[in-house]
Amino acid sequence: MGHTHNHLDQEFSVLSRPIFKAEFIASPDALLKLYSTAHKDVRPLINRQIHAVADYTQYYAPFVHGKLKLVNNIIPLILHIRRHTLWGSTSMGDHQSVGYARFSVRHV
Amino acid sequence: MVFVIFLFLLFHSNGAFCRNCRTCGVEVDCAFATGLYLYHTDETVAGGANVMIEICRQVLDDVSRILAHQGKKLPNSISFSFDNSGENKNKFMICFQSHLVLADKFLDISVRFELSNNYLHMHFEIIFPNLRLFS
Repeated sequence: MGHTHNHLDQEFSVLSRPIFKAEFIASPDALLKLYSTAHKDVRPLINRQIHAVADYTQYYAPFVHGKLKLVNNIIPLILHIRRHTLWGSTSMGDHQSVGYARFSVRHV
Repeated sequence: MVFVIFLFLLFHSNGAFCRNCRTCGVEVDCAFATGLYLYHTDETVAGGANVMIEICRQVLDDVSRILAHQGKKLPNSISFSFDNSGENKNKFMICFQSHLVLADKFLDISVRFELSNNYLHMHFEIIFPNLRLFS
């Protein structure tokens, strides 16, 4: 674990170094600065603080089936979403494409 | 285009002057936009599906902006790889992805929830031992 030396391992070990060296990180902006300067050659393309988040759950709540339970094994580990050619709505199925279940998304 | 979204926690501390920060790393594999994207939230932003949907939206915006700078467009197909957690695997996230298809942003979206920590012998699980040191 952590010793395979692939690219992600190397990238994030570099990110951790300045954190351990720092005595005190005063603000989230300082953390962003640490991340942006940790890599000398390969730096993150985007390094951004998210200050506000929209309430997507309320926005999508009218379009979600109330009785649909998406817990445990109901959602497959691999699924596919695409526009259904016959009904014009999106459909969701597992990776084996057996028995597509209609996904209850209404047209806006 | 392949998005690999993984989460790690930073600075979990009970100190009076410490703020819980959270960093979401996204690995994007898409032509000119290939690279590492980091998005940070703190305790002033609520967690859950809203944050993950917002991060997905911002990643798509950033990728389309980078591609547009090179005169390219977003591809028709997209593949998400998420951690198999409740924040990513919920009705609202799938509704957001279905909305992308309904809005004709993408023709085809495949979603994978296969980033179980310490169970996959692939490169993602290698990230977590390093990042646990922060918690």
